[in-house]
Amino acid sequence: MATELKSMREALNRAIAEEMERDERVFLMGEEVGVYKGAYKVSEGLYERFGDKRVIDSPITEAGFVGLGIGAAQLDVRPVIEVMTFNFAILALDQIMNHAAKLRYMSAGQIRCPIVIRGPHGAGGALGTQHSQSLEQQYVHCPGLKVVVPSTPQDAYSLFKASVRDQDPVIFMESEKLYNFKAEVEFGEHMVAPLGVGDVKREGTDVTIVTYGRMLTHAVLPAVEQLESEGISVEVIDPRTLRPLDLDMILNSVRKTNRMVLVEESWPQASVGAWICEQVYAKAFDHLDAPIERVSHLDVPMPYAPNLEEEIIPSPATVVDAVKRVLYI
Amino acid sequence: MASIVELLQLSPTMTEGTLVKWKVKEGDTIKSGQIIAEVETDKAVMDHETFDAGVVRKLLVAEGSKAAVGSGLMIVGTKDEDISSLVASAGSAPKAAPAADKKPVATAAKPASAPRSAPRSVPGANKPAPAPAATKVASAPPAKTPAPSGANGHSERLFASPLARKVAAEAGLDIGSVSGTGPGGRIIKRDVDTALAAGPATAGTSSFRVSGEVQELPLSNVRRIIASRLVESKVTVPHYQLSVEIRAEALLEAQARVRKMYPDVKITVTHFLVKAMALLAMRHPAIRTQWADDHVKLLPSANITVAVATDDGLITPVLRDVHAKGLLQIVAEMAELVERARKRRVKPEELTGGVQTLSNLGMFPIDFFTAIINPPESSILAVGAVQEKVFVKDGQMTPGKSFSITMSCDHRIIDGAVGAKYLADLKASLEEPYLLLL
Repeated sequence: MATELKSMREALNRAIAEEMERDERVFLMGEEVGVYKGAYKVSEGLYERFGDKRVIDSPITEAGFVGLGIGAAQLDVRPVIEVMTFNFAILALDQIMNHAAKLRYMSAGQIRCPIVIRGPHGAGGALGTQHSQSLEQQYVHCPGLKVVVPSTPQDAYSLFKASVRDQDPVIFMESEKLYNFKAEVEFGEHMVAPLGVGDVKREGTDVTIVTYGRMLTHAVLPAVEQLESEGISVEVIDPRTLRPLDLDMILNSVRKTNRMVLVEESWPQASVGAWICEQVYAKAFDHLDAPIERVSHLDVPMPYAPNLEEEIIPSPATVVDAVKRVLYI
Repeated sequence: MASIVELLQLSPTMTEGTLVKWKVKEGDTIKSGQIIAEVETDKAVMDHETFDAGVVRKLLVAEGSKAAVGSGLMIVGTKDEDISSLVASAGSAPKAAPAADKKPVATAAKPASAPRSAPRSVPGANKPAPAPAATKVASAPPAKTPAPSGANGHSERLFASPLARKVAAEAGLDIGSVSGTGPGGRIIKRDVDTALAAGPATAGTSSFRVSGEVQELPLSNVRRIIASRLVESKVTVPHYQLSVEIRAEALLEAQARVRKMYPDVKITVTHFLVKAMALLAMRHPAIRTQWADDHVKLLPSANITVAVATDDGLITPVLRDVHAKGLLQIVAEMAELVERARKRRVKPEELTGGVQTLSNLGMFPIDFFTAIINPPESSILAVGAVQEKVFVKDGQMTPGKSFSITMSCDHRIIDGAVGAKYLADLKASLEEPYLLLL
């Protein structure tokens, strides 16, 4: 039961290494993952340890190497494909949505595609408009895919291992800004967490905040500290997997607190959060004392200037405001 | 140039209105003549048009709130112009009630350089008016001027959160009796909790006292109007009453026969009364009068006013030209009018112009009662319940059925003998209905 203080980068590195050790069919491929030790150093040391047949540097062609991974996955290999960011994976959307997501269905279950496509997305700190998008919505929308968004090093470790073992394509979405974030991690086989199960990050009674990914640590937990100092007891639900979603955990919380705020690092229109709110309205209508508040990005492309980037994504202040609105104070 | 749209005077006696429901929202583009809201006046719920066109920039009155005639309802302008000075001026005290034909005046916007701050989050709900922050949520909610609850303004829509409804229903509390402090008068859970906590409490130490709290029930518009008009009537009109007992057999027989012939027509004794009143009003001009201080008005047509009980109180819609209409038509028109009256959907002109009012409490065990004249009419008939009685004729006792009619008259116009002659004629006509044909 010993925990170690690790960064998300370190937790992921260990998770990938353990899976590659455990199952020789697992291989890692992507831009700069091998010799360069990874664009964000997540795969540092793996090339030296596992060699060039299991850690493969790819050319700069997302459609190509993602497609290659999808093909490989159909031949009982376990590809872990790294995209340098999910902004670039847009080039591979045809492979992911038209092929990975649909093979099982179109083959009447005969062809499975146990691929993990992982990488960061979202605001990374002055990376510019085209490199700062939060794109989970594209994948959550598509039946046939699973989508995991870990918010802590522990979740990253536990859920990555489960993702590799899953028989279906898993889109594993990290955040550049979280790679350095350190927290206690317990390693080991017993810590593999099931996909589709959320986590109560904090128990409370006055309001439910639903959030995932970087916003947990960037906006929600600091807001919760301030709210608790004002006597407001906040329950924080992190679904961890966005597809399939642990809606029951969210509903049970809303039935308890009667109020919900959803915090997402995403543009507001037709976001994943919008769908989650709709589900809560549909299934917990009688338990709501106030309409659900949703804290999202502003509906603009991400500016390059770091001070503007901070203005646009959710912040502790905007989360506190939203919580107070649902409490009518 | 942005302008403030003001609350129009929708009826000649209107001084203020309650904004029942907005038909537009901030950001909508509107045209001249568009209906922007439903407003409850002293008479009915009415559509409020605007003559302005443009983009609705700001709604100044919350649903459920009252506003004085002439005060600001909303600000209309272009999508982007600065309206901060208009918002500030709209916040000042509303103007006093204007004369009957005033139209809204466009107010010139003063350009100001106040920057608009971009919204920081996507609002998922209506924002409530700014309120002082509570230091602890667990303690009583901070004092906020409660907007009048939906239930008080009108009897149709009630705004309450789903949770509040659920909690109230589970506690057996009528949600309509709760006053809402949420945005727009929304009833929220803490309002229901407050209402439940304030309910009749069991006594503490003094075991013989049934404790409870005196409640202050706000007045609906209808109640206010009833109060002022009837006081005016009693104070200014010299009332006296004449009473007769009417044998009901002929009417009841007639009613039964019509029902048999027209099973779908729900005809009652009231319809016969209304028709008789109308025909006799044409026969007795003194009944068709109104006191006008230095002269008496004589009305040409027998419009009969019917007293209707609604959830909010008594209202008195008028059936027109009843003397010229057949009973079947009267039944249909009255049903339609009463239905609309119950929903507060009669037009102002349908509430005026009556010659005489019928007030029927015969559906209750009322033997006899006196009604208050409905100004500017000069008389009113109060009808009691049909009762079985023993009558004596030529020394013989026979059972029969009868009901009372008590007529209150304005002695300024209708003297005792005049009223008595009319009532005698009415009694005879009701007991032998063919006399109405003469």
